[in-house]
This record gives sequence, structure tokens and C-alpha cells, in this order.
Amino acid sequence: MRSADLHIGGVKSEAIEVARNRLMVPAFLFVLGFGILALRLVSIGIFEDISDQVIYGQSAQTEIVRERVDILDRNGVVLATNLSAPSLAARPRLITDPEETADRIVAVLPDLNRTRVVNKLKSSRHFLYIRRNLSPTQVWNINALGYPGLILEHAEKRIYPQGRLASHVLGYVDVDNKPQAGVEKFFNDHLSNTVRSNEPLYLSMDIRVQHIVRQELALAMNKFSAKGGAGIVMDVNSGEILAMTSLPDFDGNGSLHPQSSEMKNRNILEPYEMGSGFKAFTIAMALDSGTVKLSDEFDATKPLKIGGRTIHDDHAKERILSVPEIFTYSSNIGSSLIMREVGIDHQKEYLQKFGLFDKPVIELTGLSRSLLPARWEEIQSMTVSYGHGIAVTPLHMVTGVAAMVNGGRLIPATLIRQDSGSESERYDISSDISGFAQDEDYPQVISVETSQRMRHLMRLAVEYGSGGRADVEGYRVGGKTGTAEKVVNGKYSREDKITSFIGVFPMDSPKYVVFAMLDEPVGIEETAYKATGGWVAAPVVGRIIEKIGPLLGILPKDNVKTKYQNLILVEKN
Amino acid sequence: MIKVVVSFFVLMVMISAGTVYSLKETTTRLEARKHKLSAQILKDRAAIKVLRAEMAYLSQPERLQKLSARFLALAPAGWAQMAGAVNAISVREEGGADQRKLVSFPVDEFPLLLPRKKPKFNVAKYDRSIMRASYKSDGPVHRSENSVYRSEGLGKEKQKIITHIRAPKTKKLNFYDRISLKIEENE
Repeated sequence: MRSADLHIGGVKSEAIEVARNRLMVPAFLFVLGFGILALRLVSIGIFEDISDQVIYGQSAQTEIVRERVDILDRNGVVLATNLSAPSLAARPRLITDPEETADRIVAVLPDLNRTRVVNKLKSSRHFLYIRRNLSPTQVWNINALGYPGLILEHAEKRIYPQGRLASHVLGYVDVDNKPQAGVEKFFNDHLSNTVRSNEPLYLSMDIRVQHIVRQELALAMNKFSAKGGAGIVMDVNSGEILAMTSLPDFDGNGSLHPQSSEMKNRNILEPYEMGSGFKAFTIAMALDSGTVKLSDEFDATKPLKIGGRTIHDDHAKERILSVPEIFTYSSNIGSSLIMREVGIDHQKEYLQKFGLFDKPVIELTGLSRSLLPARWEEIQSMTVSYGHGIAVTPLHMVTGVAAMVNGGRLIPATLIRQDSGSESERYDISSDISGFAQDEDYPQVISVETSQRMRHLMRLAVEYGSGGRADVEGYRVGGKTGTAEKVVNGKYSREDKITSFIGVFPMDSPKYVVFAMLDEPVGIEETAYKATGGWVAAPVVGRIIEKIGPLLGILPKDNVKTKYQNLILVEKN
Repeated sequence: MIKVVVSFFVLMVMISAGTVYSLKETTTRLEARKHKLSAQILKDRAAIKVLRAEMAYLSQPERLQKLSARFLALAPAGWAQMAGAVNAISVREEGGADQRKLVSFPVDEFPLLLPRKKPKFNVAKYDRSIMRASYKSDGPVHRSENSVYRSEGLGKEKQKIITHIRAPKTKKLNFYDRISLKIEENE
């Protein structure tokens, strides 16, 4: 070829020249095209390399079972989860031998009625359901039958592996997985979000503590033939609820009757008159407002007659009592007299500050307001001072007492696990008072000094007073009993009582509030046929603390000295 | 020259086409494998969910408690078993194994009643008068010294006693010998 080229000239060479020039155009286009491709390649390689992975990552994040997010306890134990539970459906037109098919289906699902299945399979409809929510084994067996006319449709079922244990906190869902109560309802936005199906909801509950509380309450309920019970364990420094139980309870997995009494959470739904437990608020406000000193004495020798009514003492000492004695021996007369000193305005102000006038704060639905006296005059203010004529929910009580002992900060109760920080260390009572940082996040209800005094008073009430049966060796339990007569047909009933005990431990550096309440207990021989808070509810709290103390890592201590012992007179024996 | 260049380019084009094709092929295969894997992961996760639920169901505290009561000799941890630091446990030097006092020990198969001092009438016990709580010698909480050491000590002492009795058993002690032995040990 090359040798021939040399001899080309004239017209031929011109034609070749033209051809060469024309070739330049496609050559240029090729270069341009490949240049663009190369540039694009570089830009993809450098700038867009993640986009594909993002899509991949997302596709892996969404679960097969994803309609509702799991609920876990603070240690990661499953409280509620969604499991795949396909529904069995059929296309009757594809079934050739309905009788035989029905026989086989009934063999796998024995609880089905054979006649009904046959009728369904013989019907002329296109598509119908035979059974909802099959278990994995049943799914396998149905697939093994190999009938093309049978269809397994994807469906999910909410499962509560712990059964009744935390039913009132968790709530439940209906057949269509729509939440009806509890955490399920409150956090529905998160729980029903399919994109967040990988982020389980961690509750503040501890399933072990919950079990202990429920078991002890159930035992006491059985022993005293009580109608119901309620129990709460709360962390005083973070407001986390470790256990909340209300008896009788229900099983979220079973068939539910939304109107029955077992569905109501007594801790938040029903206000009760708390009785003497309320005296803690009375003493706290008296000390904090400065109207009463610890060493002040009040005359409790005779029942107090006021406005045509008489206030008696249940454990009458019939002598002059100091303030710690009024609290320890639970004197109604004494607390009424203290309230007279404090005044109605102060009383209302402090009860408001303790959050007793509002709905309790927690992540649950169906919270109940307190029942306050319609008229609030001297006699009402006196009965309120020892917990009659005012009804609050147990959660009100627990939140208020937690504020009373934790340094005076009203911390709202929460069911969500908080990040464990240095919170508890910052408020260690063993450090000096000046070590207390005033926390801006939470309202200061009473001063730190009053809070410290209340700790000692509550310890005294257990050491020398009616709460003695709640004492646990080593754990410095403090608390206050409460016994209130129930209102039946507008009158206070002598027999039907609400007994409660609100306990705090360890008292030298409070960590947990433990509350137990029993509805209408009946005295038995062992308790000398008495059904008061000291006999019924205090031992429950004692046994709960005995078990959860080691579990929660509270270090037992001996010989922790309680202050103000010199203000208390006790019987020598 | 052009021939060489052209053939080179043709070769390059063929090689690069081949590479691109094989790359695409590999990518498709990898893609398919990835989809399979991620589907498998999802399936496994669903299975793990079932297993987790089952584990939670099987480890219900109530069920575990029943099983433990039936099959294990474990009791709930008590307050006396909790210690704040290692130093709080190892106090052998001061406590001393031989300084521990014996609470009781089995002398023989039958219980033995030893003559005791007649209880004195304690006036304070029946005194119902009122006093300040802070003067009370000890409150209702501080019931006992550390019960751990006591039970620990008991085991060792018991063994010692048993060997002590076993040794002369060859000549069979009579009743009074045994009593005197016990009194001796008790001192």
C-alpha cells in the first residue's frame, strides 16, 4: 500500500485529501464522545460512588416483619415484638376436591370446623380467608400439602412474650394491630413507623423488678383477699419507672375485654384518698415555709373538734407531740394543727407545686386528675393534711415523694430509658449540702435542707412508727404508711379500706421510691384482724426492697444514724 | 506505521470491550448475589426475631423462678452477700478463724439439754415508761453482727468437732462422757 501511495497524484490525490478531511469529522466526534464518557467515568468514580450503596443499605434496613417496632426493657429483654403470622386464604375455583382438601386442612389446624371449611371451599367466591395468624409450624405443614388453591398471605401479629407481666404499661393492640392503650398507643408514631423498624423502643422498666413487685403484690392480695393492688418502683434522680404493676391484670396475647376492671391501670387511672401518706406533704410544706420548726410541739391529748366534726388519732398517744412524733406516730390531730399554722394559701400553693392539682406526667394515655375538695376551708384543709377529702393517683404520690427526698426537684416520671450519666452521683447525699447543684431543668419544690429533714423523718417513721414492718436490714428504708376508708355510697365505710405504703431506700442517699397499695384488704389472724397500711402494705414494700436491693446494686450499710431521734419519745422495752 | 497503529487500536478496543463485558457480567452476578444475601439477611433477621421472642418467653422471670426452685439449690441474693469492695470481704487476720464463737453443734443424733442458769427477772423488760428514742441502746434495725462469718465459721468448727468425736469413738463414749466433752468444747 505504501509504495502505491507514492504514485498517486492529481485528481486522485485531491480526492484522498477530501476523504481525509471528511474523516476528521467522525474522528472528532469519536474523540468528543469518548472524552465525555471518560469524564463521566471519572465523575462517577469520584463523586457518585456512594449512591448505589445507599440504595443497598436502605433495602437492607427494612425488615420483612416491620409493621410495628419492638419494645424492650432497659436491659434489652423483649417485652413486645411483631412476628410473621401469615393468614391462610383460599381460591375455591382452583380447588378440585374440596372435601379432601378440607380434611387435610383440618388435620393441620385441628381447631377449625370441618363443615365450615368445606362450605368455604365449595363457595363460588374468588378469594376468602380461612384462618388468621398461623404459627411457623402450621405454615410449614400447609405448604407441605402443596395445594395451589391455598394461599398464605403475609400478616403480622403482636406478641407479648412476658404475658401478663407488664401488660398495663405496654397496653395492647387490636386484631388489626391498631394500638389501644399504654405505651403502644402513646408512642404509636414511632412504633408504627416502618422506616424505623430497626430502632427498638427501650423502656425504663426492669423486668426482674417488675416481676418481684407483681409477685409480692399478688401474694399480699391473695393473703388479705384484697380486690386489687398497685405498685410502682421509681428512680428518684431520673424519674425512670422501673416497675409499674396493677392487679388484676390481663394478657395482651389473649382475648381482651376493654371494659372489664382488669384493664384499668390503678396507678394512673383512679384517684384514691391516700390517708396518712399525705402527712409527708403536710410536714414538708410546714418545714419548708418556715411556719413550723422541728422542735415545735402540738397538743394531741384530746380529739380535735372543729366545725361540728371531730378529728381522732388512730394510734392515739394522748400527750403533747413534737413534729417528728406527729409524723412517726401518724397523728391526725397533730397534722391538722400544723396545717392550721401553715394556712390554706400555703397548702394550696405547695400541693400545686408538688403537681398534685394537675394530671400526673408519664408517657401513658388515660391519665386521671386528682379529686379536690369542692370547698376549701379550714375543715377541708385539715382533713387534706392527713389525706382525706383529696384523692390522687398513686403516680402523683410517687412523683411527689420522689421530689421530697431527692433534694426537692420535681422530676416527671418517665417510661423511657434515660442515658445513665453522672446524675445520680451529682446528687449524692453523703456529699455536703453545698455540693447540691440547683438544677434548672426541674422546678425546685422544696429546699434541699427540707428535703434532707424529710429523709430523716421518713426513716424515723419506719424505725419507731407504723412502718416498722417495711424495714429491711442494711437497706435504711424510710417511708410512711397510709390507711384510708373508702367512700361507699357517699359515706366513709368502716370496713372497706385503701391501705398503702410509700417507701424510699436507701434513706441516707435515696435512690428508689417503692409504692404498694392494696384495695379493700381484710385483716387476718396473723395481723390481729387489722388491715392497716402498717400491717398490710408495709411488709409488701419491705419484701420488695429486700429482693430488689441486691438486684439493683444498692450497698447495704449498718449503723446509719438517723437525726432527730432526740425529739422522739418511745416506750421503753 | 498506520497498520501497526490501527491494529494496536483495534486490539485495544477489543480488549477493552472484553474487559467491559466481563466487568458488567461480574457486576450483574455480584448484584444478584448481593440481592440474594440481603434477602437472606432479612429472612435471618425475621428468624432471629422469632428466636428472641421465644427466648423472652422461655426466660419469663416467673418460669425461671419455678424452675430454679425445683432444680437448683440457689436462693435469692441477700443483703449480707453484698460487699462494696474486696477489702470488705477479706478480714481474716483480725477476725481469726479460731476467735469465732460457735453457735451450736451437733453432738450426736439426739438433742442434748444442758442445765442453764435460771433467767433473772428483768425489770427493764416490763418497763412501759416513755424515754427518748436516741437513748435506746439499739434500734430495731441493728439486729445482728455479720451473719456471713458466723455461718462460715460454723462449717469449720463442725468438722473439727466431728473428727474430735469420731477419733475416740472406737471405745464408745458413754452418756456422761459425752456431756462432759460437750461442756469442755463449749468453754
